[in-house]
Amino acid sequence: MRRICSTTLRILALVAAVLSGGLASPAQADLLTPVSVVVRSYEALTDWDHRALWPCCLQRRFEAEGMRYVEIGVRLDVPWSDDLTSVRVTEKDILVELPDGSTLETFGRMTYAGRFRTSQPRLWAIKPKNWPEQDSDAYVAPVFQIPEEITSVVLKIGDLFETVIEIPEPTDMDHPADFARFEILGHRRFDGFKRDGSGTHIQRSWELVLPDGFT
Amino acid sequence: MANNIFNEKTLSWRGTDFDLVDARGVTMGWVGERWSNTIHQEGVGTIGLGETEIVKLIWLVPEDLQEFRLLYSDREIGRL
Repeated sequence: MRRICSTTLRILALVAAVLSGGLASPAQADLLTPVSVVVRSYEALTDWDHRALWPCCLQRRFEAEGMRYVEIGVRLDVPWSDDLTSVRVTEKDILVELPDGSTLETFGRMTYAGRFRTSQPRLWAIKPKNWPEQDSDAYVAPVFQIPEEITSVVLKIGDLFETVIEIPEPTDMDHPADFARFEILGHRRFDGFKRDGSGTHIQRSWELVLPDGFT
Repeated sequence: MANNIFNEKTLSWRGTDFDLVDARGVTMGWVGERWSNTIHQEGVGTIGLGETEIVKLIWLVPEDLQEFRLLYSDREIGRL
């Protein structure tokens, strides 16, 4: 069903592009059509940019009085053609418009469920080599810091897409460990590690040399 | 349950999502993830829902420490 709808929308978009005087180009408004738009809001966020660099379980947490953090996960269908082979929107052009007409830039992005990063989101997609046998959608999951009294905004992704977003009540963030079951199969100690170089270009062999008293 | 926001059929993780701490909670030094005949510090693993993946993780630990807790994203998932 989704495939049929997606194909139909793509054909309609191409027809509209031709009627308007030319084939689709990345600068055309409403070029992309939504496959899914998922919105969640949070009262606080944990930063996963620093998480990998810091010792367990030090966290950087974002929380601001009177503000909410709104995650908008957008998956968009692109009407690929001979002329439209890629779409790209940088973070400066991914905005929300508030009811008073002002706009907000992104606060960060979600990489995976429950994982917020302060690095900025970008929308980027390229036409698959074997299109139309294989399709490829465009994805982005920006996070915005929005005053809590705001219940509706307009998401704008460059000139390619815009839609009204109704902001839901805040929920707790997903915990990354909720998505899998873990089992320790075993462990062992060793006092070094050697890698013998291989490959057709540069061969690098190296060895881990452990400090005294460690394994 | 998938953690990929845009693909309901996959789960992704990084080796750095795991932590090894001693009984007091002190973090052991992360070395990397054993992969084939080398060690990777970066990289994202992805599997389909319902699939199983064996991950070999390496930390630098003092010789005299015997008890550790393994955490995933700050949640304890096992002891060794």
